[in-house]
Amino acid sequence: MHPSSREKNVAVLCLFILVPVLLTSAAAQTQSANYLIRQNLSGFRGGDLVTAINADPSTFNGMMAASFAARMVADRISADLVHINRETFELEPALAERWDLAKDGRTYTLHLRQGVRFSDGSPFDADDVVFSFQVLEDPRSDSVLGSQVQIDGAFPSVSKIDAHTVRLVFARPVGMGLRCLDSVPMLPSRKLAKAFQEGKVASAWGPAAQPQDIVSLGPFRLKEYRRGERVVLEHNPYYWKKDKSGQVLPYLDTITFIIIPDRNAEALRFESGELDMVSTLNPENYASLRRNEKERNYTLRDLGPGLRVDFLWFNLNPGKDKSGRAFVDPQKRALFEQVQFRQAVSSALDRDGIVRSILLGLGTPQFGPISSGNKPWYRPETPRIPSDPAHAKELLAQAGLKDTDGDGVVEFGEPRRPLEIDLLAPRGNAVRERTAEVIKENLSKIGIRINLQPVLPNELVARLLGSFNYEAIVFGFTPTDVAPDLQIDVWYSSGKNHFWHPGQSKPQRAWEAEMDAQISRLVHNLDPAIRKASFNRVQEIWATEMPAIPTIAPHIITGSSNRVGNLRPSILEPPLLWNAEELTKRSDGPSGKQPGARP
Amino acid sequence: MRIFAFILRGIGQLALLAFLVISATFLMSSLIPGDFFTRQLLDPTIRLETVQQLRHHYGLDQPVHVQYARWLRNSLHLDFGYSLFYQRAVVPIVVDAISKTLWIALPALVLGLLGGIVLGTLHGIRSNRLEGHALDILSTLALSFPTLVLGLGALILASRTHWFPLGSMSSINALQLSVWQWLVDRIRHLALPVACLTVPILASVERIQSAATRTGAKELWVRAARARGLSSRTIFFRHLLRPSLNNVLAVSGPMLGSVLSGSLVLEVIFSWPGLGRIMYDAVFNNDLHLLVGSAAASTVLLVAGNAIADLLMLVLEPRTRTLSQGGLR
Repeated sequence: MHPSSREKNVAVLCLFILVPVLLTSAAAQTQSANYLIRQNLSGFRGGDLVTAINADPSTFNGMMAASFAARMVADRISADLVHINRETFELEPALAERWDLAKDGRTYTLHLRQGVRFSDGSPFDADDVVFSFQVLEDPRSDSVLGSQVQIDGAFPSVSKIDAHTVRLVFARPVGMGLRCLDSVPMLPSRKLAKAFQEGKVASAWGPAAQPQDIVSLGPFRLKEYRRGERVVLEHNPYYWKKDKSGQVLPYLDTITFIIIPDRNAEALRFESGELDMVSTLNPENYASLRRNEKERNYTLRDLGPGLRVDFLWFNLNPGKDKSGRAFVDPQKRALFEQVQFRQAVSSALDRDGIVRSILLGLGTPQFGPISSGNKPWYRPETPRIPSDPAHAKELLAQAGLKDTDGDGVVEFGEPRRPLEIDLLAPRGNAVRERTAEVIKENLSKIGIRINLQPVLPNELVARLLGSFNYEAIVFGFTPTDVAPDLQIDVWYSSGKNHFWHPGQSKPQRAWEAEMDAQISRLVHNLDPAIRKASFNRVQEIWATEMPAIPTIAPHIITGSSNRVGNLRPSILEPPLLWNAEELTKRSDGPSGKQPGARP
Repeated sequence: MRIFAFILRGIGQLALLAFLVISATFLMSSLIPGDFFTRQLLDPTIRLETVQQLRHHYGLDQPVHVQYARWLRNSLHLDFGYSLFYQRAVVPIVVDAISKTLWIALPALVLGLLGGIVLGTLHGIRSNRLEGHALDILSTLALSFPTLVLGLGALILASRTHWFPLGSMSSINALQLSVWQWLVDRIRHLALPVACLTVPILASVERIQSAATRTGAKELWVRAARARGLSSRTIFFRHLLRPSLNNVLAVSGPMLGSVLSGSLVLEVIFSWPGLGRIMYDAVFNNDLHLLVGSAAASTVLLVAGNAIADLLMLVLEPRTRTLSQGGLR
């Protein structure tokens, strides 16, 4: 039966209505997120990754996350404007797909990725960027990241140009550029504005928050948190990255962080297969786990020296306490000030012995201010003082120290007395405590008597940076990035972390004045060659003057199940999870399906 | 009336003790150099002004006596402070932690007491036989091992045999389990920490009970009961066992203290989020309010345990009631 004319008219009318609707919806889909495409990446959806953190996260807001556990979780659920690739150490676009630097060298125009949405589906735009910086700047926010973004104590001014463009203006040209924005999360203004106005943004995403209230831009979102037990993150369906075949990341369905405070227990649970990865193994656990590597289907990796360097330094602070007593005996301090003395101590240290006996070979001797693992900035040609007790004794003699009475201890000062030095070491840190014991033994061979004093970490920090009541100390710190700019408080003589003599109003020593000048050149210059040359000079000065004597850098040792794919281990934190959105996990045994792109 | 008076006295003692413990904890914590934010000073990327600002925001820059007075004032409104480590009020954290500690403490106490009484009685009756000597050696060994060693040994055993989980309260998929499966899962996770906590309790109770049984068997009333021709069963249960339990009852209260201190070590090893764990976190991170709150909670539990033991003694041992009134009659 042929359709009537009325039926034909209805059909045409429907076409006129439906076609535009379909075309509009198709257009809407093509206007969806401007995805960041990982050209060399392929994988498959599915899998539940299980790993551990050592404590409960105190917040799920990356802006306030200070502890390792909080950062591990918060950084997986949040996203930044630009991000440091932990494998190449290069800065890459993230939520900002590109940026321009004006000729003044301090004005950045960031072009935001369009179509990006938060984990609840709400849109991300320039208002959220402006809001995030307001939170960063507000003292009520308790944000520790604020210090990272401040240049010379000032925050950049942030303004919105349009819905997807913002402008950042720093007080002066910033040598490291936008690296200071790495891991600074962008927060949802619509969700947190009220809390911000009430001064409660610091606690808005605390441990008591409901998962649905935590809205963010990272590859995962919070699914479940049970105090003392675990944190479970789930796949964020609105994430803005894809792999080369167009598969939206992340691949994993969930990441579970089991809270395990004891490192030995963590290693055991990894060995038993309960955990898929462990980021930092100590040497003893590494040795134990190696025996079952093939049988238990996991892979251990020695990534080489991390960024942490342990130092021995002497208190050069000439100040006095409230009662007028000098922090350090003036005659001892005068001795510590002599470069021959510090060089002698460095020459006496058996760094290879420390690596062998304490780190079981999983460490590297160090001779400069930064780790040899920091490949972009480390200067291999930096002069090294040879490890030679005889040479050390000659240097001590040049400093006026000799053992005149044959008791095995050199004498110093007027009247002459045996040289005894109190050495602080952090109690509970096995590597540093045992390193201090080796140092004691090494220095006894050249006639310096060491009185070892292990103290609790908080007391050590209080004496180191508060009362300055110490003579010598074994300690160190772990930079979060390869660029030395973020450690200017160590390099500058006025810095609070210029450990041997912090907070100087002007540099007290000629070599410190030169270091200050070189660091200033580093942080103010945009030319990479000038920056590198400046920091090379800092390393040369350090290697000669030895304000803090480098000892060793422990290696980063990781372990991961062979069912986990797309791992790109890094010496930057977190070694195995920094590219969590790219990781895959086979759910079946080792002979299971091969990874391949699958919608 | 007697019991009511006893209860009132107990509450008064509890309040006084809690106040003393809190004050002592505050004082001792103030002697530890630094505070919760001290270690952030080590981070070169964190400015000194930021740390000072944080200290001021949380009142940590105030003198100890000012902080203490403020804490006391707030506690009258049942506000026991704010945990900087957990970023929430102390009370819900401590209450939650107590409930989780009781999961391992109560079974350990019950099993330890019951097992110790049974084995101790057996030991006391057969002290000169093989089983008596074996129990002597075993209880000595059990008491020799520190809880830490027991816990680590149990973990290694679990990792080698896969008979038990290696820690935590439940499996990752616990929420998807049926009620019965969840219960089995929970029991499997409890097995090792409870066993490690039970062993020293059982060994202590066993030795106390065996000594009390041996002594009681020689008492006049037991000989008299035998002479009267009472059955062995009656002699054992009424004239030997019941009086011998007094010694165990007397130590069961203080035993709660050793359970709590033992559970701290085990909770860290087995990742069990109980009271011991939060005390560990509080001490390690210098979280003052959490430290005070968890110390006060431990005190309450300890005093409550002692009070329950004393109450049981009052009920089960008539001579105690007479003595409590000021002497034998």
